[in-house]
Amino acid sequence: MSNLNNRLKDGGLIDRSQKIRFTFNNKSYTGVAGDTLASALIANGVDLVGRSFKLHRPRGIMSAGVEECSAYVQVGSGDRHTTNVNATQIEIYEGLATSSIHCWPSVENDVGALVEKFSSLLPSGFYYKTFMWPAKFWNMYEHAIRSSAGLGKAPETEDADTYEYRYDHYDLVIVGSGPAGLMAARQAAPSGASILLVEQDFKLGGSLLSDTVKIEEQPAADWVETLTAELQGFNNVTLLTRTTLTGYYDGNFLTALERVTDHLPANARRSGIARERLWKVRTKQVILATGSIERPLVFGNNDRPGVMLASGARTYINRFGVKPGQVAVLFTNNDSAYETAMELQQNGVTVEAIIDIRQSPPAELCAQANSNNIKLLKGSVVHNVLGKKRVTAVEVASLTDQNTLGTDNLQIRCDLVIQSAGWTPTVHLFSQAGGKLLFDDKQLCLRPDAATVSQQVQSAGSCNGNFSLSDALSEGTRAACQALSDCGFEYTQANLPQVSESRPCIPQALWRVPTRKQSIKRFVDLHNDVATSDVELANREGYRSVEHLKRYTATGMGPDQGRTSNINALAILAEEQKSTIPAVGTTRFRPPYTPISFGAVSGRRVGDFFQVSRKTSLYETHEKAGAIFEPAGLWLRPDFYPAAGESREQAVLRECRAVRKSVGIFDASSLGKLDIQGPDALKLINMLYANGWNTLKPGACRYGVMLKEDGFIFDDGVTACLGENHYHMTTTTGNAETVYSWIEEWQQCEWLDWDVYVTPVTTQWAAVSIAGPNARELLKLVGTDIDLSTEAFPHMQFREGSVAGIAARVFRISFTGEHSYEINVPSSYAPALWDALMKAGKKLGIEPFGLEAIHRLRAEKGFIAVGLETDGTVTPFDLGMSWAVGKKKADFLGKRAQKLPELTRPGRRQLVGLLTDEPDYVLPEGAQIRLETSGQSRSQGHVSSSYMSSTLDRSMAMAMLENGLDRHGENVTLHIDGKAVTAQVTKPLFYDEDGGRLNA
Amino acid sequence: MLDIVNKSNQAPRISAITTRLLQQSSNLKQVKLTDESFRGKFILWGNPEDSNFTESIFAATGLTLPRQCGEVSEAGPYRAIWANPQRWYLICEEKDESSLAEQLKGSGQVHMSVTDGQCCFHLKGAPAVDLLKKGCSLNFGETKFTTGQCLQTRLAITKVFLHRHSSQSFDIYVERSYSEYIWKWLLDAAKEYSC
Repeated sequence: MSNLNNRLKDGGLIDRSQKIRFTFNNKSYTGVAGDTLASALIANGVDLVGRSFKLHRPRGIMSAGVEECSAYVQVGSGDRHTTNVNATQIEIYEGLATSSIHCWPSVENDVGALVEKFSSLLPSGFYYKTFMWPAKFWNMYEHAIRSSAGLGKAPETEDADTYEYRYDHYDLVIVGSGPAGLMAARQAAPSGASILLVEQDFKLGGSLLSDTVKIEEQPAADWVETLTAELQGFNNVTLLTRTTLTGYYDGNFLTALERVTDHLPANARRSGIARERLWKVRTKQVILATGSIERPLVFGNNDRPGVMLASGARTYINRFGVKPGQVAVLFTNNDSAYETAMELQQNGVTVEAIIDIRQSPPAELCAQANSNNIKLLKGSVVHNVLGKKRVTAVEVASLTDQNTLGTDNLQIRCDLVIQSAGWTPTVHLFSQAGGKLLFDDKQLCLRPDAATVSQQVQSAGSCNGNFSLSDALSEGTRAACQALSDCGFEYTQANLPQVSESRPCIPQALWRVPTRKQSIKRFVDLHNDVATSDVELANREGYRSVEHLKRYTATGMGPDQGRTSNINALAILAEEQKSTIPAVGTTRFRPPYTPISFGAVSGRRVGDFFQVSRKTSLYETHEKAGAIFEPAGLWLRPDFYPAAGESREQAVLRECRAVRKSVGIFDASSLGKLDIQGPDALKLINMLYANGWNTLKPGACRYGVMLKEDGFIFDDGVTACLGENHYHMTTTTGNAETVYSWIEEWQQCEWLDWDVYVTPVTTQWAAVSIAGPNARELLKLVGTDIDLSTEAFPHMQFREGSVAGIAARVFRISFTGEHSYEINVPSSYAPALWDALMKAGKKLGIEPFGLEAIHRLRAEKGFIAVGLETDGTVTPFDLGMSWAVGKKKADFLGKRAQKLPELTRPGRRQLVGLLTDEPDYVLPEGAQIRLETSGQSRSQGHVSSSYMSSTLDRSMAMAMLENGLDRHGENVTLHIDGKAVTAQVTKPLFYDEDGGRLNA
Repeated sequence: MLDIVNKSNQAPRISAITTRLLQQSSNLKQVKLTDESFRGKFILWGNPEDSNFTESIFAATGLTLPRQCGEVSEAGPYRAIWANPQRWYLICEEKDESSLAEQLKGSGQVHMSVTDGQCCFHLKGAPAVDLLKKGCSLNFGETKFTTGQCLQTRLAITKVFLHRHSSQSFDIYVERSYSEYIWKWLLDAAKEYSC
């Protein structure tokens, strides 16, 4: 590290008067407003920024933009920690704390760098080959590999920031604010179309911010300012900076990541403002003006700190006013970087030489070099870079006609190598949009083939393979006109600004600069430490498809997405296969273009907002009663109500006893409820349920099972006839939506002409169930105008009336086996009803009971629970419920399937009860009943529900057992955790066999 | 059949949104969120091609039922929101609920009260659209979602009806058991508008 101050005295789009302090690796530095972390580090003479992915090689800053694949750092720590961020894209702010990644104990002295000594043993795929045996050691190997490879460290604490989405709709989205994007926006703005302009940088302008060209007689950056001000005047134009368009999906659906607060000091980040906003945008038209990225050359030790893309150096000089080095050489194969060499020289960087691969660069450029006193070495290459933590010199040799090195060798001392191999259009989004790419063999790049994309998208400017400024300006304008006319807006074509013509970029291919020694590494993909030797090896080992190459070597993967490596890797693979780049093809680019945080993907769906917790209108009432809640689907339902010092088991047994001995109260509000009305209501119900409904009179209730077409039970419940052509159907809590959708599907697809209307009313009605021998007494006590005598209101009937002064529907139905009423009132009255019942029931010893108690009570009575006794493969016959299937019914859903051989075969699992020989032992649900035959053991059944019963004073279980209906009285064995447990098979009914209590 | 709505219930009604959560909305500065859940809400079913049906509703309520997605019609204190080709929401203020119930009953058409099953919140303020755009993918352009329209959509992860009253005010209808989620979600997402 040098202690130089590389900041130029003037120039650049920075404010030298605004000093900003930040830290890097715990050391304090000062930058200025307008700096990125990279420009500020360069200004402070910091060369070494991080260590590489696999080989821990020292790495510096190789660019000034999104293409940076070397200077990844970590920002922040603890609960505000982001890793693998490009130093070139971090805006500095007061108090910014950053550090190197992937090095220990420090970036200067990294123990992991020892790996490089063995680099020849670590080619691509080495761990697939090396760590194959013994197989059981893989866990150990994996641990070691994972801790030594990879990039930054994942945060260990919960993220303190919030994230959110923003959905929006536009007529036109313009991606990029360089010359093409700005011109497109300028052209489109007056039309009134709604326009979103997205720019990843914190300033609009793109390449113009680094350019010294003049547009409309203003310096480019001033022209950008003028245009920005002009655009800000339009209400229909939204300008979004610090926003990367990360994904382009079908139907012109785009995602863009806006970094809202990352540039702000901690004290300026307001609570409630999301750190990042993920935009999800639908648009009629898209103009991609994403520009291009300079391609590096592939030469010996081309990853050393101080080797930089010429475009990067140009940005540091012109935009940030910093010198990226003191003594530079330019290594190029085209014209475009000459300008940068001159600009460096003019700003106090000594340019020792221009090394041009071409034998005869244009005379004009030679003259320019000469007049700037820069030595020009034609037909020559940099074949090796010397220095480790910073370039100290380059080795230059001439290039023979066979593209081998001449015998000459020139060492040039320098600390900066700027390089250019031409330009690569940024086609990622075009490719994501579904477009295919064409290889341009003059400009040596892939560019969009507009004919291959079916979405409303156009590419303009250098992302379209047209690199001159005047092309960018005119293509931006033209694309905007096209987009406007395609979505029906009127416009007048704007005048094109006059600019001086720039030189065409016609690079000379030399995909691998030869080296003198094989051991000198030439990197293709700096980010993934992929060298030429890795690409060659992959090809030798048969990974010849470009998709295989990518996966075997990791070229183009990760945060970098091959922005600088793609073309070089393809070209080397093509050379190895003695083929061409078009023949080798390219991989499809996938979203995201740049990394997206998990936070942004989750948005607001975290913590309490991850999922809805549905609550009945009695939730607060239960909470006050000390209920412990249990999730049931999306609902939160009381599981039990412990008294002081009670365990769950004690509470549940107490609740069960209260129901059996006196009266209990239960919130059944979450049960699905459907209101069914219309002349065809009965027809619908007859089709939905397996049993018959024709005889159901108004005021009566009936239990039914629903089957899917496959004949298996799907739901069950009680339906009441409220009046002529009017029914109230209940479903299980978990299936309320499913049953409704199921009915909708039949109504909309098959039974279109049926005159019947189904409305979900689950939450319109709260349902409070009172159960127990004193249930009738309780209803009397609380006050009702309904005649409760057995004759007037028997079991399985429904009455309307007033209960506790509240209009109610009262169903005399039971899921506990006790005399029971389910009182339905409009939801907002439920707390009043509950309180009145609790008050009136006090002298009866009323107890609220929860889910666990009701499950035990229903199991004692042998009532099935859909989802426990049924699993989507169980028929009513399997459950001994043949009475629930209408034998005489002409049709119902699932009727035909009942005749399938599989459903009628002997040996099906059927519902039984199980009583363990050990009465205190509660079988685990899911336990398997084993069958031993001639030394073989197999499962012949499983436990579906199992509880300790307060009523029986012993354990009980329900199980599905092969031919179970005929096996009552048999003994079976279950194997549980290696132990054999014996049980007796019984009828699945342990309580009130004759139903006397129900009907009392 | 007993008409639940017409019975004058003496018992207190409890809102789906607790007092504590209601109070939290008063912290919002630039938007106002209010609970209007006790508005009368009915679902009406019928065949709009059947003039007996439409005329009986018109005679009972004065409402001409809307026929297009998003349309809302109004007559006196009543409002009809299109829900699907054969289904409407009829809405009125709390005080008019029993009269609307009476009139619907008189019409003899298929209807039911969903006052207690559906909540209604009113959101108003300059950032209302920005707030909704955090969780709703509708196009809120004023020519696409015009004042007076009511659309069924998804807000955060729940199904809602949004009735637009002006460029920056909306009724949000949401099923009762999802309403607390939406209320809290709106409060949380609106934090940035609290100053």
